[in-house]
Amino acid sequence: MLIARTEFITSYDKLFKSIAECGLDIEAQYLKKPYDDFAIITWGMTPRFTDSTPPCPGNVRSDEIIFESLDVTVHQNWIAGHPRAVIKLAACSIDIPKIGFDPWPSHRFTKSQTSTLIWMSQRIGLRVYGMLT
Amino acid sequence: MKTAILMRGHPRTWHYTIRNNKSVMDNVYPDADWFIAMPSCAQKLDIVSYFEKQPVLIFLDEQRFPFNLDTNLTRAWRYYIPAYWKLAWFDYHIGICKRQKELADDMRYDNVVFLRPDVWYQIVDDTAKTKATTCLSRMEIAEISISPGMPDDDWVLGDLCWRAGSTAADIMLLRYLDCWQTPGMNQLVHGNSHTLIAYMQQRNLLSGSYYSAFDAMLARPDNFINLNADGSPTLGGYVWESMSTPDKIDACVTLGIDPNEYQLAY
Repeated sequence: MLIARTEFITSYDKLFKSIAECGLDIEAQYLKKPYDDFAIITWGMTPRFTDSTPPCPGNVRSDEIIFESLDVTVHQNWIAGHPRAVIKLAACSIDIPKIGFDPWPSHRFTKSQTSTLIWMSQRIGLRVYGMLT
Repeated sequence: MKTAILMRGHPRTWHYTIRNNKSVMDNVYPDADWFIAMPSCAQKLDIVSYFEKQPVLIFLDEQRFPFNLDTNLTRAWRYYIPAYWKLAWFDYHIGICKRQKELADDMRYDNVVFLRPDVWYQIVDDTAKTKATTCLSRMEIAEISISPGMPDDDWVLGDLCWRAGSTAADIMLLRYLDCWQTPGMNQLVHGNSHTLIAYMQQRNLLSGSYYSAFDAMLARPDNFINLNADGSPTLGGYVWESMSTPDKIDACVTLGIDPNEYQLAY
């Protein structure tokens, strides 16, 4: 399992750039050991999945990305998935602050970090899942 | 518009095209940053002297190319297209350097130009220059498009030159690490270097606004052996394809080009 971690960041711009930096770290690891089946980027102080439940049951597809929740009212602490999917999202996340687009305009919590990351994941062709709680 | 020019591939006729190509690109994108990825054999070339500003240079050891023919990886695929995957490998490593620079400098390239060392580029007039400097949206590619004819009922794109917006560039640069290539699965049913580029573009929903700003022609050794009366290269023909292997080797040797770069037995 490949793990990259950044500190808790409230600024969207800094968070997305930080995810991009974590993606580079995961790439560096993945190029040395390309058959690892899972990668995680965390930015919360205490991601809940580290307590007990693994974030994925295994056999993840290479285009699958998993969020803590697909509920946009839940602030994300991590994203996980196949390393290639995580790397793809991380690479594209450099540009997320410039989207200037409201992904879910009807929702009262529009432009949350969650909705933006999920929207971007779908936009670049990833299969998006939320972890069952 | 912040421009990155990516030149990648085997150098081949590099020494005979670079002055022209550099001049053309300087005229269109005077403030561009250059990223160059070539096999390690190109380390002996004098690349830096052509640039006023130091380009990012990446030399890759081809012995470490993961998709060489004798690996289990490629045996598991239905089709293996070296011309596509080697370039994708170069592109991938350029992409990492590009992202590192973007993060370090806190900026973003919104115009990424993909070039080859063995192609002769020209901008024919101001209209073309206007096209070449048209801002792209983030998920847009220009200069390449699906062929109207769809030969063999498949996707087809040119691979001599294209421009990409910011996110589109990263997606195309990641195609070596394409997230759809689940190990052990037979992914590559589209079978040549052109269709695979098109497939990547279409599958990621990258809009392809085709317009031909750059006049791009393959520049092969014969083009610099048989010169025009004014001394310019004879571009645009397909003489190279009809030449015998010994003649091709002779042409390479005459120009100081390693015949191995054209997969010629030497």
